[in-house]
Amino acid sequence: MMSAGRRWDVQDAHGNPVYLTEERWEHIVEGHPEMAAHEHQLREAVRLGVRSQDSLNPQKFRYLRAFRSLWGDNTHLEAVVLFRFEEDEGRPVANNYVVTAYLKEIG
Amino acid sequence: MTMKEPQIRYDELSDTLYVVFVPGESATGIELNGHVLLRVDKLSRRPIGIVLFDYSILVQPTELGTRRIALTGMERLPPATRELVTTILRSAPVCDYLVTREPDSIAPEVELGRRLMFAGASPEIERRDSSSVRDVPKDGGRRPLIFICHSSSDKPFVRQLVKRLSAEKVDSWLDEIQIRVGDSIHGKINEGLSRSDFFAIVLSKSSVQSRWVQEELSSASTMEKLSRKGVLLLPVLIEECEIPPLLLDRRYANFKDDQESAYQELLDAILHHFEQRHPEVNVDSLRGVEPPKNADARAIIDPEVLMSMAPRHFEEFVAQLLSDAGYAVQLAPITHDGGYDIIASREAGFPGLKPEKMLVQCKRWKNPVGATHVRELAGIRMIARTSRAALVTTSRFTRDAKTAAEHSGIDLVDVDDLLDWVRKAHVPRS
Repeated sequence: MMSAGRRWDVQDAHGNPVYLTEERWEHIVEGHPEMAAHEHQLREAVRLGVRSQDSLNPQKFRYLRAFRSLWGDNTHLEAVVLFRFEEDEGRPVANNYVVTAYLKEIG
Repeated sequence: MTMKEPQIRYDELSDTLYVVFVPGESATGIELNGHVLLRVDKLSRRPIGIVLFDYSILVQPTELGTRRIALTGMERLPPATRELVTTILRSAPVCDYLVTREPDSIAPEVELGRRLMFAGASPEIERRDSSSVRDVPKDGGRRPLIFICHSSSDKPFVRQLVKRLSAEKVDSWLDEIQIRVGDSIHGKINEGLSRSDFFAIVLSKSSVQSRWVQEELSSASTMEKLSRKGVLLLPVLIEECEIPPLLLDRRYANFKDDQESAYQELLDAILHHFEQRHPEVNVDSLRGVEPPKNADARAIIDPEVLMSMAPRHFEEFVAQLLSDAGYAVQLAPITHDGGYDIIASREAGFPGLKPEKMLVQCKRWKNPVGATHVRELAGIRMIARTSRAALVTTSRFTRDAKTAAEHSGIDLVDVDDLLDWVRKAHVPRS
């Protein structure tokens, strides 16, 4: 269950609730140290980014957004969000959370 | 300058594999396609790391061998970046992990290097949440591997099943892999697909109560993925429950009534399918017994030798006996689940000898065959409109089965009849 240790919650442009946990943030920074200074941009990417469904895992969605002043030559931030459910008194409740995020250069 | 051994770690939650050449260093990300990110220091033109998204899918071999990954993102790179990436891809250490094929193409293809192929099982690779997956045996690929998806409350049954399968040299992969509230069956399938030949789902009240089982096992994409990968889905019913819609037309091993018969059916399905996917592997070698190879050997056959045959060899054996008896025989494909294994036909020959078409179902079982199987074959014969149908077993038939056979006109061939048939058909040479 991912709901423990939430760092923040936002709604994406489609109204879906998405959150980031402490554990996932640590994981993101460990794998992509350049992300350490861009937590705000990560949040904005989920909130306002262009959403696309992963071609191999239909429960995985990617949120892409361009930013100025990202680390190095990176131009965009991509957040990967898993869309799942958890159970609340027998009823499924959305459980969408950021699993990873990274910077990339486009163009 | 020598480079330290890279750190390789797998993150199960995001299904991502990280290869880190320079730990702790920031980098520019260059997406080679939607699943491969190269992290580089553009100033020093050094690779910092490689990130493989959906790793458990990328690592799956295809029918043609190792999966090739087209770097379609290369086309969109500015010329200077493309040149840098091409140089890095061709040089150590990256070339050890992403092996470039057709390097001169504008969108080259890569294969994962050997060190990444068994990343989940390699001791040199740190695995997050490593308790959830048991290492694949070193001779993986030679023995059937079955991924068992189950509810934690069904663990006692699953443990027994794993123990029996293990005795038949069928490996299981389960450990902490369970259906928990909030878990995704889809995610579990992805994990299971990466290495398994079979995906067994244990159907019980507690497992199907989960809405996720209902929804995700009913997903066409899940079914298509299993089918595309050649992974056989094996529903295992252990108690009365509502079966997910897309499993309704699938034959399941029914452990709720006759556990022994269900186990034999499950094992037969596993060995059948495995034999087809891995023709290079002698399924009999899994049992440590060679099948009889000629008529003389068959003539001195005993029930133990019959039982030691792989199910498919037993079908071939019966087909040969029918052929020797003058029938034209056709074996059903291994994956065929039409309820019969052989079609035997004979043209009209001598005056009075009518043409004949017979469906034959083979049961290489230790335990008696019950009436259900007789009735099932009778139903199939009606649909196929054949003149005869026979059930052949290495075991015996229950009393109910015999009664059902009398009523429905099904021929029964038990182990004694079979041995008698062999002896009459093949007199050993002196």
